[in-house]
Amino acid sequence: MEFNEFFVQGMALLGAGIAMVAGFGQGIGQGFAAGKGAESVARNPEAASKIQSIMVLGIALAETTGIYSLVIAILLIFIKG
Amino acid sequence: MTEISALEIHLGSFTLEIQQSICVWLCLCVIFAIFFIFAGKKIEQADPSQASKGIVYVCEEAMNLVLFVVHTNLRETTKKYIPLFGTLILMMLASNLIGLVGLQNPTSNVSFNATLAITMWLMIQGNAIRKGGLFARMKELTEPMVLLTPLNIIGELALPISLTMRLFGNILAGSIITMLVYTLIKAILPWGVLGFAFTPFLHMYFDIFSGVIQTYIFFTLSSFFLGQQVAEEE
Repeated sequence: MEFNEFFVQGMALLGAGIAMVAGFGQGIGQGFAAGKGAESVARNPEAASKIQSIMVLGIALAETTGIYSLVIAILLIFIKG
Repeated sequence: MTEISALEIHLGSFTLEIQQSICVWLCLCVIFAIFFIFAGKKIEQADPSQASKGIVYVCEEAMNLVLFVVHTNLRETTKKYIPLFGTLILMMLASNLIGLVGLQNPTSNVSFNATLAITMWLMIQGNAIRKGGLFARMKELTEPMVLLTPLNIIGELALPISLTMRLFGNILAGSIITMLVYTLIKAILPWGVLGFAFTPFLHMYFDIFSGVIQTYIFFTLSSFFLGQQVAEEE
């Protein structure tokens, strides 16, 4: 099999697509955090604003793994694609 | 990505291309320097017994914003570190929000983020060494057992990389998505009226929400790790 330029390009784009599968875990994590936040607001409605700020912070931290895969996908597309 | 305007300097046969994000960064530095010198003079002349107004009031509110981010982590050492954190927080906030006027964010260039993250990391490590000496710091890395030393070192090195990539990925993804939507609107409607209907939401989410939240997280994390080294235990 010949490894020419187009093969490398196609594989890089395919790799960018596969890298974005990491969004799966990120989605589960963020949904879990938001669900727990809603649960705790239902239990203690007075602390809603405090819970909300902590929840947003946690969600944005959980976003990190998805962002890593996004960076890798963007690098693959713009460098090899 | 290539149609974003850049500054090109020709020196004989040598061409230096400065990206727009770097130009915006340098301009922001100049504006911030002028602003802070001017504000400092105003604050020295201000009367403490009167209610503050004008530029002094703006500076007070900015100070409160910075205290809101760092005070819970740095506690009693806040006053010592507030010049650094204040400058960097306001700088990063302005860099994230400047996408609203159509310029390229300096934070969508990895060099800006890496500069800030490495500054923070060197400061954390420097304070950790100053606290108990170099030997105590190295001993700390071998705990709880000697076999875990490589993992501890990787954990320390992961901090600047994760700080850099989190901010960079968020802002870059936002600017790319916004630019794609603008290009699409330009392709289907030459006069671009639909841009008024669709793009404000994108700017609201990616520039304002994402930018402010990422600034908060960046400095909450870095001040948390710094506070572990410098602040007393509660």
